[in-house]
Amino acid sequence: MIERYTYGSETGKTLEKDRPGVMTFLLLGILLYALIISILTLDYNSVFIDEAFHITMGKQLLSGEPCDGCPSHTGSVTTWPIMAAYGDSWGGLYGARVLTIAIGLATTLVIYLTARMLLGNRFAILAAAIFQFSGQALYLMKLATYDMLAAFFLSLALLLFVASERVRSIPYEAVALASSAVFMFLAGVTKYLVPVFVPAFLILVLARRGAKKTLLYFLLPLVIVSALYITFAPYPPNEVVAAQISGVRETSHLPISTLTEWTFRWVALAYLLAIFGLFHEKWGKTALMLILLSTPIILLHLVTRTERSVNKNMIFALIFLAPAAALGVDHIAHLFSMRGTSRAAKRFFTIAVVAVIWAYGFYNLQWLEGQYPDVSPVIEFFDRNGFDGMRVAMNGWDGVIYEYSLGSKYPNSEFHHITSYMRESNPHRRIDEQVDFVVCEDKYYGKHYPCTDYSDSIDEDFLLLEDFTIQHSWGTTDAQIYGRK
Amino acid sequence: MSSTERKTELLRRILACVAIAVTIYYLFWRVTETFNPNALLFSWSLWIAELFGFITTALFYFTVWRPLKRTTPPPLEGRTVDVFIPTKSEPVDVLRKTLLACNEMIYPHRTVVLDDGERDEIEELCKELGCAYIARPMHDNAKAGNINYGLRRSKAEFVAIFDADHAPQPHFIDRLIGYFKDDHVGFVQSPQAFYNIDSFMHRVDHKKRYVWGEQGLFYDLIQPGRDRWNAAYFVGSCALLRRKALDDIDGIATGSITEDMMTSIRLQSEGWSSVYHNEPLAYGIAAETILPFHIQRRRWGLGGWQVFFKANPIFVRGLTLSQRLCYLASLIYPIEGFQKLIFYITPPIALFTGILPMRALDINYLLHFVPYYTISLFAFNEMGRGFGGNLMLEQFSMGKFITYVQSFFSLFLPKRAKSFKVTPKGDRSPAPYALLAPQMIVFAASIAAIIFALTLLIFGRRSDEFIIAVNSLWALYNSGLALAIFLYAKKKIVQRRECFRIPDMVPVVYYYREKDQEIRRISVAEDLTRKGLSLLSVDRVPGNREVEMKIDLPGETILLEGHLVQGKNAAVNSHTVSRVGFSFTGISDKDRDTLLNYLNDSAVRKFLAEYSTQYLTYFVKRFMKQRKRVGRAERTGAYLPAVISNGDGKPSYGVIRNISTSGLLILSRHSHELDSRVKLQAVIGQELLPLEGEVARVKLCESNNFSEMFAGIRLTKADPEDLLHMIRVGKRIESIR
Repeated sequence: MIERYTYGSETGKTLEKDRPGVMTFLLLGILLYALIISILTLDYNSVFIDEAFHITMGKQLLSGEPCDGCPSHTGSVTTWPIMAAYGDSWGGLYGARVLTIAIGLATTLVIYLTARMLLGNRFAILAAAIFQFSGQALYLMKLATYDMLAAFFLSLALLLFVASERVRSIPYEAVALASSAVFMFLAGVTKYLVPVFVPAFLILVLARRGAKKTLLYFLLPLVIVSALYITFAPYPPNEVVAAQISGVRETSHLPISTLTEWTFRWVALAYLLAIFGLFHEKWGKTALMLILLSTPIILLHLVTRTERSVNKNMIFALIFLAPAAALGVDHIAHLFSMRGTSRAAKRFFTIAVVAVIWAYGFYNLQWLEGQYPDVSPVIEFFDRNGFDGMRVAMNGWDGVIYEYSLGSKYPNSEFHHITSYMRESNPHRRIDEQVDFVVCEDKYYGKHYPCTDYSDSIDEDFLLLEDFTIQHSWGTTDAQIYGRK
Repeated sequence: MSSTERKTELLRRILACVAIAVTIYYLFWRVTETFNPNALLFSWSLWIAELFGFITTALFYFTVWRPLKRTTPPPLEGRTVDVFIPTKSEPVDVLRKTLLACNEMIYPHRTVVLDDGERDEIEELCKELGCAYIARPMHDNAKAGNINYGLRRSKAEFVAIFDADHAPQPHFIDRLIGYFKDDHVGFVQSPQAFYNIDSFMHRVDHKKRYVWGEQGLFYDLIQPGRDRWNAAYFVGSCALLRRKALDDIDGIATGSITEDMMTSIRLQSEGWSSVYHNEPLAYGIAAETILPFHIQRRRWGLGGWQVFFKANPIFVRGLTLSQRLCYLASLIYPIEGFQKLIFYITPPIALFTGILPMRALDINYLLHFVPYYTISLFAFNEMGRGFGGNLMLEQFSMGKFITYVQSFFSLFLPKRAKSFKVTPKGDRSPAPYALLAPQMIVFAASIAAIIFALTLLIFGRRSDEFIIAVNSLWALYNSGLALAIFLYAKKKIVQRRECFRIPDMVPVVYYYREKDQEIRRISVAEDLTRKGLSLLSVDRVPGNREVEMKIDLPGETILLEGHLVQGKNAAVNSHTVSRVGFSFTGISDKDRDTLLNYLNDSAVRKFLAEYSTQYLTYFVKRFMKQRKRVGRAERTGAYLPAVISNGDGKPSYGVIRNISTSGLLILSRHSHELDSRVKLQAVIGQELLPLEGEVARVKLCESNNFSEMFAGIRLTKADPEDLLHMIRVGKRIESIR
């Protein structure tokens, strides 16, 4: 105990101590924020096409019905669709979305644990905040698709790899590495894009654990589970999926400059901060490792120049970038407080940088929420004016949205692409007489089949019933509903 | 130069060339591809600011391309030297210390005080200390005029000039006069070193024993760099000048308030060469608060502009191209004020208005900017040879940007307003907060702009999210610079001590009476000033009474009385360790002068030797031979007094600096030989703990009159219990320091 006494004006100061559990409260705060924001805005948009697909496939699988979409979809049919279908049976679309919220929160926790093991508690909190405030995380938490589940598995693979470096006994190390491989596999079969991380991961494991351990504990388990999957899975990857992937590549090809901008839009700030992390006095090399691990998915989009789902796929890069960006935030705060000893100044700048990240992410979240058309007015129209057994021709592939939304009310109705209802009749092509309604969304899913191509038939046989203006983050589109005369 | 050093230097120069090439490409790309057609003025402003940065950096690389390291020549014998101390308003205390130091200089000389203040007390002081006193009737041309007046009354071959606060070391003239063997040498400049490392101009990392000085880059690198090009310049103090050279140019140049630079230009243009001797030979007082810093920089800024317009080295005949470039580098630096102003206002403008000085702030921009900026920083850091400290330089740029802007506009003020203003030195310079207003405006504007833009962003009123994010980070950086300057300046204003406490280790015996009994204790002074000291004692020191003290300096003893001002105690084992501050209440003039001499000749050099002014750059770390770590026991700082005997004379007091279970480091007045045997008794309160050992290493403390040495002792005989006891006490002492 130091006793201070003063003769004169100077007074002694008591040393300030850190209150215990502050970090725990901060982590809980971040998770609570994510939970509240997600729950409060769960109805941000009508069901998204992939959500509808996945839930529908899951329902079919659970009820033993033939799953028409399953062969043409990824291995996710064995994981996410079934989970989504359970969620849907519990609470409809919101039930499925609540599941992804839980998975998103768990992913944040896993990122926190990974960063804590790698860098320490302070950085872990920052990493969790950066991930959760990024916009994509919150968005995908409210999107009942396989993306968040794949992200969760991928983050677990990283966590277990990091954990394998911390354990001292060989059996534990082997278990951790093998589990890491298994979760990498699960991430891969959840979304067929994730295996792009496997080579980088392998190089990392090889560099850190040596050839023997990599081969025995990581590569071998990965090969075994992959082989088992290919052999025994009900819907293994096939030519249809491969064709679909290459089809995506062809239909969403963009110039490199546009795609670079578009890709980096979703990770630009995290990437910039991660670059600052490279200059962190203590953890610069770890930041470099994490940046390199985040790179494959970015490179994949840039090399293939594929735009489709880039905004969603960047979540995988964020898993690695978040801890690296946490180092960057710390380094920036250290720099901005002029490498001084003032903890208050450093905290001030840390909070300020996190506030910038949050605002940036919040803006992105709003944008992401509004990027797909909110077709609620169309659904409501059919809810009011439709009938069971109706046939609706659409100039997009999003019939599944309406089948999912209106399926319980109109189980015998069909919502198919307009090309399915075309018949040749001289001198013009005409829409089948059995079609009751035509829905035109020229600027979205039907962009390759604009309704103007069928205007003769529509003008002659149909009557415009409703004309909606749909708001998006990037502007507005029209949706017209025509009824047979 | 070793092969590693040669390799490092080569890499540095290659890196500098790459950085210049990349910057040229970047600037070209900026001007051709990125200008915002809707904000051309804004675009040009930022570009010109960047261009200015490039020009100054390129000139800096040129200046420091190959810094010159000189070997001190033997002194010339039998020359006449006058030492000039120009003064106007400096306190007597400050001048007394300087004159005492001048009198201690070994080389025969005459000390002359040139008092432009015509003060009786200074005349009295000169009489007391045996110095010549000259006061001129007219006070034209400020310091330059004062020195010229002195020159007319001097017949010495050489003239040494010191500012009133700069106390020279005893060997000052001996180290410099040898350079004049070359008849072309007009002047020899040494660094203006400062001992008050808690000043506004210093940043100290006590843990790493590293001190960064705002003038460090100039004196440790730029001047040696200029010396290579025969362009080192006279800085108005701490220099030895050849009288004949000064006569050639009619004395110190007038017409600018930075007479020193103008004098250098004239001397060099007349064919005289200059020498820079990079060894601190005089220690002065650095600007303690922002006020003297502001006054000094404003004077330098204005002086720079005056030289630029009146004696522009680009057009002066007789200078070499290298000299012209070196001077140009020095003269254009006040423009930095405008450059920084643009850098500080750009992010708030972009955040408030959404207008950018470039077409787009996107990934393409970053792909150009980040490599350019990273390489530039890396190259600057390497070419700065560990004296740069980019972040610190940026802080001080923030501290003085408005000063330089003001200095430019001062050019247009009447002559009286442009007169030479002495930098306040010593104890009582006031420091108004108003001087910090520009920094606070930058801080407030940056933070307000960030809040404004982020609010618009989250409410969907703005959609330039990346622009806002990047500008917010830039604005935060600027606000960090502003906040650092504000907080540090405020700390200096609030916590300003009467004078800098020089860290030291001096045995002090103190006495006081308690219950009719005289108590006598030996302790250690951990710092000293001419007005007080701080004691570390293994005893409870009583307050509210006068305490008699005997400061045991090497070869001298000072008796005085002190009054306890403040302190703190901590308990360890059965002892109480105290750290107490005393102010002197009774000290004779002779003893005070002895103390001042000791501080200047020994204490300052001893403590500054413990601090490094250079950090290791990446290349140095990369190529540095890794020293094998010798396993040795953990050492604890101790600050324990000891009675030391090496068998060749009577015991003397010393100080145990640190201790481990196998050895200790002592500061001793004896002359210890390597491997010789040493006996000592550590003093802990009233206990005397005997120790014996062999001298494993020695390091002499540089001093002319106060001989001391550090000796590393390998213990051969010591009670382990005693050692553990000493370590515990030492740790406790460290904890209250």
